[in-house]
Amino acid sequence: MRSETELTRAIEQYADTVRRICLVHLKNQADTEDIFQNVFLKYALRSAPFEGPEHEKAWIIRVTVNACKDLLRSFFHSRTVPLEEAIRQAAPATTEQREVLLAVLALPEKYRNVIYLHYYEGYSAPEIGALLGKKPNTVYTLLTRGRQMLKTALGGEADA
Amino acid sequence: MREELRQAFDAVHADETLKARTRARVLQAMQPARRAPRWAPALAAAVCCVVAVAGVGGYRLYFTPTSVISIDINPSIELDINRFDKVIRVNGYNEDGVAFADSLDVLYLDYSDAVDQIVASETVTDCLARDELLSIAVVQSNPKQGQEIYDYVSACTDGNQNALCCQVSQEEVSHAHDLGLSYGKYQAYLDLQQYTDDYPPEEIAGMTMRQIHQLIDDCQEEDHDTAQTAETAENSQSASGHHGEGEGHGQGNQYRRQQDCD
Repeated sequence: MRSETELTRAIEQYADTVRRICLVHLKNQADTEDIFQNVFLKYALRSAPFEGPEHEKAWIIRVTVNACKDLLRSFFHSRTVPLEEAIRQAAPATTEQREVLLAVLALPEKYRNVIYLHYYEGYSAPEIGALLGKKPNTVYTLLTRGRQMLKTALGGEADA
Repeated sequence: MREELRQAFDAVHADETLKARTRARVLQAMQPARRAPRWAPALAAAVCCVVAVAGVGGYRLYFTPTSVISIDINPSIELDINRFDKVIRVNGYNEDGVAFADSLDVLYLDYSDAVDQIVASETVTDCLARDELLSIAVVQSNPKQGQEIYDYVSACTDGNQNALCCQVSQEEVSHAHDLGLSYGKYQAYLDLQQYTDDYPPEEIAGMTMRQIHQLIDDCQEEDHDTAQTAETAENSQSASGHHGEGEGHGQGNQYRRQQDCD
């Protein structure tokens, strides 16, 4: 079990990451709070050491993604709210940012994850495959199609 | 697009309220695990042991008989009574006794209610109507409780010519069950044994109390007659200088039996 200090440090360090993954999967604040509690409680109760900061971050991402999927599968998740409302709750600053987020959140779920992990977190396709339990080729395919769909939605150039 | 996505997601933050609430809830959830002392499992095991020992002790305390009421007419049954005056076992002796015991619903009743129910039962009232003899023997391990039970059953059968009550100690009748007899019937068997050993326990087990007491009375009469004949003969001899000590053996036993049993 981890100390209170370690827990506080992890919340400060990874809260934004968890919040972004929640936004990618969930559409309401109540479920987001459940996921936060779930993920950081698992972190606090984990006794095995991490191999390093990257391992710790990857663990947080994997646990958050799985917790979101579990919640969506369960009967107990709260009602979703419109995408605009979900993005407003996440409070992006500009209209342009809101439009980009709207385009990402409008993608089917299987594309959202890989787009976020590749373009924002900077993971490669094999690393995303390891995180999500998918084959690298599948991740490449999802990235290609997701990028194409985003390009269409945003009307801009899609850089790899 | 990479830069646009980066800027858009950079704008998403977990607010301070969410972080503070998460921290508080996680710490709260961790509390029971943190505060559980190392000796908690040992304490839980000790409590379980105490409960188990108390349970076994309580069970033994409740289910150990301290008195026995032997009710014999021809069905012979015994009620085991615990220290709380409750009937904890009903045993039937001989075929009729087993059937009668099975027909009763007196388990865990107060002995007074159980005796009332048995004395008022159709089986017993029918037997008494046929002029059978009802014997109630109180076998006591606890003298105080034994006396109370004896007082109760005596009052219960008071006025009934065909009922007799007695109290005996456990030592006196300790061999009863070895011979397949109830305590009350064994007591009558011992009385009969003083006059004759012509009747084995197996035969006694099948007799009614009336039959056994009839045999005792017959033996007593016979004994009395023999004693009187002997006394007459001695009296006639006394004229020639001999003095007899003609105390009737049968009378002596009759007196003892009445003292013990009524």
